Amino acid sequence: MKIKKPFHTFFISHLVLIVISIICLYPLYFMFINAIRLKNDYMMAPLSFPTAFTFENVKNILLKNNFLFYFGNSFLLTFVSTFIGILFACLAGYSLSKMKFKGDKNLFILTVSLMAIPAMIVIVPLFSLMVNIHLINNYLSAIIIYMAFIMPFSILFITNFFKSIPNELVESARIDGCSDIKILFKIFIPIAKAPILTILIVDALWVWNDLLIALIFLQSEKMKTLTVAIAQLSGRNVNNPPIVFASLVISAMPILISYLFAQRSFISGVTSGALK
Amino acid sequence: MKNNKIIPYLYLFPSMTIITIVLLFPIIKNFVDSFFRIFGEKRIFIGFDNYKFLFIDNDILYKSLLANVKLFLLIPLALLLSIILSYVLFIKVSNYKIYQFIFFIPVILSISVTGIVFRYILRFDGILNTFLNVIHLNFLVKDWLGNPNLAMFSIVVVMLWKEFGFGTVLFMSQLLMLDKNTIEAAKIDGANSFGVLTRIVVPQLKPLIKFYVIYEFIIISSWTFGYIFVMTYGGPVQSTSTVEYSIFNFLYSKHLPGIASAMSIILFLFVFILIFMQTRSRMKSDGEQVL
Repeated sequence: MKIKKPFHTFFISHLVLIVISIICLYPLYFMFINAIRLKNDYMMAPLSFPTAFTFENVKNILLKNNFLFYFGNSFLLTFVSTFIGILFACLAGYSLSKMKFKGDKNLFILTVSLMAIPAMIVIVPLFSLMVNIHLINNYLSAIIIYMAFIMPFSILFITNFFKSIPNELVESARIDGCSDIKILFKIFIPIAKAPILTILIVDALWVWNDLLIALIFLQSEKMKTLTVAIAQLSGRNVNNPPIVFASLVISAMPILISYLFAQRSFISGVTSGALK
Repeated sequence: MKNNKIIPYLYLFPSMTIITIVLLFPIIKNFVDSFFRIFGEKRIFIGFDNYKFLFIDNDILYKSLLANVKLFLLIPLALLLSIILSYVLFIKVSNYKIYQFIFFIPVILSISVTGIVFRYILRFDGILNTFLNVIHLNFLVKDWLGNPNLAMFSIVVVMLWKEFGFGTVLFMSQLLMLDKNTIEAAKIDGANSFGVLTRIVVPQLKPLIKFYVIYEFIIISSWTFGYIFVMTYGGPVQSTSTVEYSIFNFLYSKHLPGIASAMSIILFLFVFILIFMQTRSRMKSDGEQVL
């Protein structure tokens, strides 16, 4: 038996949801609309709809401010650290899920506990370490640090998934003469394609959005990432909001576009860690 | 199979090496450094003086902790909002996916983008105050980020904007596994929406609520730097200087790495003990699955 929903509750709940949706979307609209408006126009009436549009700001940001460089840096760091990070996590996950050895449980708990370490805590000692081994202003330092920060969550997630793969599969593959490394790459990783995609998104989001580590370990102009560049640019151009908004749009665009296309993976990626 | 014993460790070697260098080594080094006064290359052992400075001589630690405590307001707000929204989406709305899509957008935006946009919205001459003037609510016009009493709460609201979508989607995914008939039956028996919410929905969500609280706790203790760095720089009058931001200040403005290390250790213990206990209790309660 289905209870008919009275019209007023239907109306009120949609009203509430629509208001909240507007609150969610307005800052985005505000960012986009002001990225393509004239500076004076913003100063006169920030709330009104612009009288004229210009792509000058976006063009300026992309061409005059090294933003293509920063973009490339962010992309490179995200790509390399998530891929190698996940590869390492797969190796660890295989070992932790399908091999029995001394201390495996404790190692797992320790790794997972490290998931929540604030980046600020490790910055001080790492900085002097990186200075000593001459890795400041070197992509490698940031890549290693990013990999370490995405590692605990990736290991947890991948280990849990690998555990759900039946042991018989491993046994029979071993009888057929498969080595462990072959089992991992030829059987496990193909099976785990979907969860690996999920974890890839979570990790890439983390690296792409990081501010602190890039700010401290990649200080030279050529190595800056997008997040650092927009934070600094917004500090320098307080009185020219459209330029700042144009830089924000450029930095947010790749994520928004990928979200549009891979919405499901984003949502399941970020929530599945909790549900699993 | 003589090398069977080494193989598992071989697989773990790359990841554990990186974790050791980047996460474990710095924690130990911080612990050692927290007993030294450091000027460039020079180090002088001073025992517990750095801790004494933080706990007794100075109120920076307490002020920073207070800033963090104010942020805890985020937890009940985010929890309440996301439970109610997920409930409304589950019960009353058939095309929930479009709302879910919209609510999740703030979650994926970076903290720096979010912070900078809201800095322009919340400025004294910003869009919010302009809007309040237009709709004749002039008495609500405030200097949202410039008033020491308000700044932290403004940041809480911005964090709420960014965080509630995660909670909503999270609870929603659990509710979808729930049988709608249970709720319909309860309604036939005369339960109202509030009764259904508190008696049926919340108990169902309990494990997830626990997770979400811990998750937000982590966000508050370790992910506030970005917001503060782009929105207030710890001001006005240090009112938004959280523990994380104070460590940054001790390091880069005041050049007192020893004290920064001591403060790092305090923050570390705070977060780690909680997570470790949570992980262990989870391991015990449901066997293998963690978090």
